[in-house]
Amino acid sequence: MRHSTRWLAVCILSAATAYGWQQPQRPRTQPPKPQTELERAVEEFKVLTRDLGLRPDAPGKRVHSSAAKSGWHGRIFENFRNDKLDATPHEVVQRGGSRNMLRRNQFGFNVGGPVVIPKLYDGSRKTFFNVSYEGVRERIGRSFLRTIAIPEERTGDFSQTVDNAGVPLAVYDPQSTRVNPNYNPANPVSEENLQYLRDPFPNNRLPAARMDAVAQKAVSYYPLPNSTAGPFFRNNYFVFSPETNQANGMIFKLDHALAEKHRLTFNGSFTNGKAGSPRYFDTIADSNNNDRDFNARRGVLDWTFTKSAATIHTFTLDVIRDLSIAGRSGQEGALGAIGLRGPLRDAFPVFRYSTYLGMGRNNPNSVSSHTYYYLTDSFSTRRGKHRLRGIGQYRRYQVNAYLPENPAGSFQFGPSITSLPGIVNTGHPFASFLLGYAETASATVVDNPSYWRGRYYRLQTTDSYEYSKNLTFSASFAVEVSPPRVEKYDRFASVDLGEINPYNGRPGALVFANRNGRGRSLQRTRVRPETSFGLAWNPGGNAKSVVRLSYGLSYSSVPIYTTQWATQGFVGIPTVVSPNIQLQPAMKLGDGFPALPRPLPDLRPDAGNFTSADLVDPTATLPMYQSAGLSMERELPGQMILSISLGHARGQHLFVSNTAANPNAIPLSNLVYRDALNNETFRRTLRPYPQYQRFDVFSSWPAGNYKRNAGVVRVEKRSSSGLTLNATYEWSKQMDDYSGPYGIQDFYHRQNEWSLTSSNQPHRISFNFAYELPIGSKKALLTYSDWRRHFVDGWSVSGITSLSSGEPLALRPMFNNTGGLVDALRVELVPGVNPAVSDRGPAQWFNPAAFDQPADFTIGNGPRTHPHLLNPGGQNHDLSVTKRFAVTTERVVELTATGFNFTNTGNWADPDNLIGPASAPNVNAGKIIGSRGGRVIQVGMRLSF
Amino acid sequence: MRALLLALLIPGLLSAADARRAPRTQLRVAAPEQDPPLDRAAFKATLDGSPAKVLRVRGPKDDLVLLVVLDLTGDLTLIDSARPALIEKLTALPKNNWVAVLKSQDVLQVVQDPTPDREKTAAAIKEYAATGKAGLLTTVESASAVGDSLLNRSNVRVAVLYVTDSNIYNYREDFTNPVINSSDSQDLSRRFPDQLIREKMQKLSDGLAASETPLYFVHLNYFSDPINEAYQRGLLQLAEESGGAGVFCRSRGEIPEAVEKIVSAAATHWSVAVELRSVKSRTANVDLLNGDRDIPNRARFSLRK
Repeated sequence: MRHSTRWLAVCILSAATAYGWQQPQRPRTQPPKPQTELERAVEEFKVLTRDLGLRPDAPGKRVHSSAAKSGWHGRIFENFRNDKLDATPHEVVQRGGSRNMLRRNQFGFNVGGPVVIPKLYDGSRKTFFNVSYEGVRERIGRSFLRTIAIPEERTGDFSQTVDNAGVPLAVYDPQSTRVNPNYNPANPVSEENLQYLRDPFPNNRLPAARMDAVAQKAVSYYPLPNSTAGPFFRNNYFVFSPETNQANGMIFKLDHALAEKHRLTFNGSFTNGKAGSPRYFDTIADSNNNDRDFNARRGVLDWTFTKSAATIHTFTLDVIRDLSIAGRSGQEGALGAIGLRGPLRDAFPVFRYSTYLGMGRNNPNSVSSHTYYYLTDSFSTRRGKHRLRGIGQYRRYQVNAYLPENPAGSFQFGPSITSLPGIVNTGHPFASFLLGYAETASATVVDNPSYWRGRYYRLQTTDSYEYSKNLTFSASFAVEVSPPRVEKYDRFASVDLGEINPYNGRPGALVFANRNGRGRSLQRTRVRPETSFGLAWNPGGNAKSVVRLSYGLSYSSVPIYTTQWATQGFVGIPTVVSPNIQLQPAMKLGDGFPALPRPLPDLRPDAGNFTSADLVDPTATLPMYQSAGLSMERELPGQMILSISLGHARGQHLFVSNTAANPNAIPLSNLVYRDALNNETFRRTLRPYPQYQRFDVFSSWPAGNYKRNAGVVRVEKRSSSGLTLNATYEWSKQMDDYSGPYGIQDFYHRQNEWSLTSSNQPHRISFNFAYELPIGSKKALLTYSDWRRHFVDGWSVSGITSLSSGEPLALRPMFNNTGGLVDALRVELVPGVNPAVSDRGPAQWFNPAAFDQPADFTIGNGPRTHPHLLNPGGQNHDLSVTKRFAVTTERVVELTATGFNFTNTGNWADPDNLIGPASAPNVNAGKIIGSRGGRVIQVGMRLSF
Repeated sequence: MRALLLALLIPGLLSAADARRAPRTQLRVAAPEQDPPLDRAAFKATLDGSPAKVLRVRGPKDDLVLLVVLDLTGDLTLIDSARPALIEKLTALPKNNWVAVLKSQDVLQVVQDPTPDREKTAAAIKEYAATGKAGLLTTVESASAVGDSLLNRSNVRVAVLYVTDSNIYNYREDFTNPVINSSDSQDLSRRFPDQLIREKMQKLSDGLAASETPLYFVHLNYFSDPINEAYQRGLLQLAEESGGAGVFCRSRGEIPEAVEKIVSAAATHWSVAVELRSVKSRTANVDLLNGDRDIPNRARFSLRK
């Protein structure tokens, strides 16, 4: 009964507070009567702040009042999307299709406030929490337009197959190959001077008896065409498939003040989810991405010790862990179903045949887990005019990975084996596939996961020195030491370019960590001395203007790789390569994949021979970045702020990937050997390290360089009427010698690769605004105070508009007849022909006549990215409209409708960039086929309290 | 049993609460000092467009209680620049300007009661430890309510002055809408990342619409990212709607001048009490004239309180 009475009292007090009783009656001691109004105010201040619990000497429990709102606050929300609200994307309209299905719900809550446990703990002044949850349930239809084999081709009938110009494409019988007795080696190979003779298949049809049994069975898992979007049977397969996404995540924070000078904070988060990838086709041979289960966890513990008003000490422990499991069920028995034999693990193998949609996926089953620990101690103090800060940090990384890339084998099929040897635009990759003739084949045999470990130590000090009221200097110096990464069980291997290979006595042999006198790592300890300098200056003592100057020198650390790269010998990558792609296949599918030459682990120096061997950079070189900036901010009349900044940045020794670095590349001077380069045995002799096909440097070879100049003008306009405008214009020019999707042509003369960065957009404009409409009870118009206020109060609109010029055009020749010397062949410039067109449009974006296919066994003299021709620019306009309903001053319902690309603007697709020879031109070169984009609407509701 | 009791009691409590709300009889309208100075005797007022009686005028030479709230948690170099500037400007105030010092970490807390003793004020500011979480948004209603209470119970001017370097990312409450599910590549809900803070600012604006205490602030560290811009814009809106003012510093060199400007604005503001007699709506619009000069005063008030 006594309990109930107390509870009733609490109810009454709470209700009274909620409905406006301002000052509960309170017993007051009788202080001396104030003499003046100021003394009266002070007396009231003391009494009020004591009653509200705002004083250190206040009683433990506060009297509730609207003046001391510190209860729990938060929100509940739902964001909803459905394809019925969206416009049909332009690319779908152009195909004559309909909108893709979309169902999406994003929901969650947030709540935070003091930690109060009735009768147990009152942390209303010192302990606070905040929790956010968000869930996503999404099913979105994805559409793809691809090119696949037409039904006739699936049965070996290539009589209807044509090239890009619509000219019939001849398929030749490899078994009919013979030496041309009339070949004149003094002249280039041509149709008039063939080195080898080969007969076309009668009627361009492969005899059924010649078709490979494995390929034929694999074809039964391959879809049939269902679209006629493109000419010449291109873009003949349209697929619509749902992508699913389910995720649940939470962020929670807890902070607690320990006495006056100590504060503990804990931030934690997790997310669990499942991402279901769309299918190109619904069989085990599908080549689209894997489904993925993932979870991530993070915890950050932070302790702050305030020694004095001038000295603060902070200690932080941060732990991050994430786990990803990717794969798809139903792969069991795939090898048996198609009859492919060999030392392969069960999954559908990867078959790739040039421009057609392939079969099978890389990494069909994988698991990776990353755990990162950060321990940071920072100290900040003041000494005279100097503000000093010191930071010490220890980082430890753990990466566990099981990522067999091609456990069931990867098979590449090219046109050469079914071509007229030496003549481009003959032969067909899919015909080569049907015959079972692979150009190259490899498999990944992984018995163990890899357990990578890395650590870093960093010390940093910064000083901010106030030279005068209007001039402040700042400087920073840091040293980071990173011992090289190790593998927990020393399963770490790399090619050592100085080690002699017993196979041929040439430099370059596989070496292993913690064996033969080597340390546990095959890399060196890196030291990163970094510095920065800056100043802020108010010219002439004018506080409305500030000029900033900055310079920084920094280095990238070596990443702890998240794959099983550099474990060769422990991981087997058996590889077979065609001795001459025009004359002889690497293997025939029906014969099965060759057995492993030696069981794993194979820890001999020649274990990586004849493969694309993993090569770890043995030097201590690190990517270096330098940047300098000058900016000026000026406050203008009318609450307007103008900012102008100029920046220059450059980088050297940037880590690049295999497309931009190949230490085993054959120098291009060897192109003089022309058709002899098709002979793998001969070509191998030209490589610096002939025992290797090439090197896999992952994305970690320090060979890239870049330079960037940029200028930004930004104007911000603020208005107390509720309107805010931001406009930003950026000009930039970035050059490099590594970027782009195709790679570089000449690995030995990087200066020839120097061109615009493939992602450089020279002009970018963005415009943002937010506007509270001037209507409603607190505004200038429609100031209703009756029921109508519910409809006119609380409207706001905001928008984001962005416009950008296109990225530089990267042109590609249609054929690459360089005997395998050049991975990324460039086009040839035609002298005297202007590449630009006067009336640029989708019918002709650039003049393809200004470019040509390089002659056989020559490189193109065109740039990697064109210095003037750009792809079409883009524009996007997003708009959000919000209506607030104030239920009480504390409870608000907010409805939001957001239109992404609300103008439903279509942006042109990039023009066709393939340049063919005069004999087989690409009739679509320079043309833009279609546009993309479409309006997307999201509606949301949020209740905040 | 409890539910039944509550169901019986609540309607009665609501009626009683409504009945006991004291009707407001005046509005204290804050207005900035002008150049040339305003004439105390020349104030005229209109309420919702109709002439209204000016009950009382308090000007720059009258008593003032200045509630200085320190909301400093970030860069000590900026805070170190603000401390001496603030002490210098407060010391220079007239003797009838009493200054209280409060801090806003965790909850609003009194560091120093209002006092004419500048040494005590200076000591409180010097000893202030700049750690913890930003607290302006969570304490501004309480600070205004304290100010209103002082206005109600004494015949002085009252102003709340925040000295802040608060960054929206340093709040305990999550206004930044951080990504929770990093795998959600289709998430468009964060395209307008400032929506949460705009909503919070609007809610505060609604909550403070009934307050009569002008708010001033000096922000020591201007941030240019979209969420902080929305936050800073909201601060300015709160200050201007209350009849106060705000100023942002983009560099350390600006801090002394900004502090001087805003302390001066708070100390010299006018407080004009206007009779509130015939207003029946939930809001009131007040315009002040000084002679023939139109004054940029606090114009709109909510009467829900």
